[in-house]
Amino acid sequence: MAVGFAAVFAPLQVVIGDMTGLKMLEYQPAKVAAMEGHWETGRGVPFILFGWPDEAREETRFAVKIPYATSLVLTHELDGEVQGLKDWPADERPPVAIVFWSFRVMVGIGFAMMFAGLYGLWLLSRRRLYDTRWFKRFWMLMTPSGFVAVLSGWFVAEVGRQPYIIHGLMRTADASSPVPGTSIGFSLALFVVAYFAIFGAGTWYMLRMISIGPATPTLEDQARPIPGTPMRPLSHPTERIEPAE
Amino acid sequence: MELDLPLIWAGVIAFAVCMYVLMDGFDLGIGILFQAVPTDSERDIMMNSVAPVWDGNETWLVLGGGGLLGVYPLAYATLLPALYLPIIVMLVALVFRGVAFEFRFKAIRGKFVWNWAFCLGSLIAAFSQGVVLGAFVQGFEVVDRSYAGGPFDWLTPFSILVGFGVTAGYALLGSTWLIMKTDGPLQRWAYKVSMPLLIAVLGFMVAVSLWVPLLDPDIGQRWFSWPNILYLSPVPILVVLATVWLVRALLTDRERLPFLLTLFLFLLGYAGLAISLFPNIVPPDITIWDAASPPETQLFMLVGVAIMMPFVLGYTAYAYWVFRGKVDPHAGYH
Repeated sequence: MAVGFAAVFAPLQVVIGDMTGLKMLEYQPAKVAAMEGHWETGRGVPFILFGWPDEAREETRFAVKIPYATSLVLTHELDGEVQGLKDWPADERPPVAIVFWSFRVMVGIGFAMMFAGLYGLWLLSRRRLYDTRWFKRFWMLMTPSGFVAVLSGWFVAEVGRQPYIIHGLMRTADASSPVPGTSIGFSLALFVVAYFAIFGAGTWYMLRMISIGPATPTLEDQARPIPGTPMRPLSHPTERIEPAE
Repeated sequence: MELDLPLIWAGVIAFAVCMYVLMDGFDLGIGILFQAVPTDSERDIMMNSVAPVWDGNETWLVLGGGGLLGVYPLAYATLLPALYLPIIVMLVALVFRGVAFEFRFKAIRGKFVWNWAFCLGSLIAAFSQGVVLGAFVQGFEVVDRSYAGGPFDWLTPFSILVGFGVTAGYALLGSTWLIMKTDGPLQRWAYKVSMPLLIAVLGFMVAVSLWVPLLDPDIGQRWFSWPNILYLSPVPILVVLATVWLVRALLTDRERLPFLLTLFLFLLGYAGLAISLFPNIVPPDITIWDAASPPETQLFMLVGVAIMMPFVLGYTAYAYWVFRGKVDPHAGYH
């Protein structure tokens, strides 16, 4: 089921991503320019696969480029015009490197998901899905991919819209509340501690569940007319995670 | 006649906060009393008595906070910075008590950890809410539509007193809830603790009632001038009557009445505060009309509330109806 889901939705994401990109170009072109790590306005703009955006030198160094690709993606024409970051004064640009790299992480994971789905379907059609070891390992590695992709996408959206909190109207610095920094620091520390404690306990519990493994139905289970009510949702009806004392 | 939207919204938010205090009050109270009962099996029953409803109770806090942001942005922008620390502490405490519901039933060796997480989380959340209430009543320093006080202005003897008062009140709601929802030794235990809790709550109510008019001469004027004193006298008189009735109900082992009367006492205290503070939303100076967002926004949000509120009230009532009666100690997950 997961394979089917990935095979359908990962390619759909590419389509949605393209539509979002075009909207973004219309409303927040500076964000797009930062995502592309692209400084000069021009036509037939290449897509920078990797590189190091250097804000001080106003260029992306060590760039590996695909010719015409950015123009093609953003304007759907080979020689379409795309605005570069130099069109905005330095204090109107978002932090380029964070946006640039978060975007690449997100897109890279997106393509990895697409591969996982499509290759999985292909293996399924040849009845080899359940015994291709390396592919199962690949799926295990993909477990956190959704989290990472969502977070890096969020980075692109939120960092990319800086320095504005309401685009073009209000700067983030003008919107902050009069709460002093020490209070914010205190609350941040409190959240870090609280989340470590709670996610720690949650992760420990999940690992515990995984190490117990799915329950194999026994004869006794099958004979029972009504299944037991679990103590809590997502738990074995009968099993405790710790040995009874 | 034009609709007085800020006034209607004041009613909506007052209602949401009131529902929150009454409903989350008793389940926080369960948490406060949690470590005082003798055995873990009684703790299981206590937790099961609120497990089906506690998270629904907290949705009212969301309506109160969300409504404040949308409808009284000025109040939101001054109250939240002023009360930043106690509110953050309250939220983190609520996080710990909330997850305790889930983790506690899983653990055996670690159970005591979640017992304490539930108890201390509830206690700290209740106390913080009381401190927030106390700070709210005593008012804030506002200059140019922005909070101008320090990060610890909320910390005063008065707000600490209210913190203890609210904690005791929630504990009383919790213990009378247990009287209604349980039987056997746990119910006897709840009868036993309810009386001293009631005495403590009354002590705090009297102390706060005497202190508030001294905080602000306007409030004293409002209560004690003629003819207001005549119109407002039902509030203290009803408090006395409800208390006498509550004591009798506890002594004669009534099961539902103590909880209902405690709710009524809370309502009276709430009404007393409303009378003292109206129409201010950021005491002592900013009224609900000063702090209001544009009428278009208020109307838009009011339409949403008018549609959603019947659903929320409906499913809330339904949930309580489904889980009515005594808690079965042998039942599984709710």
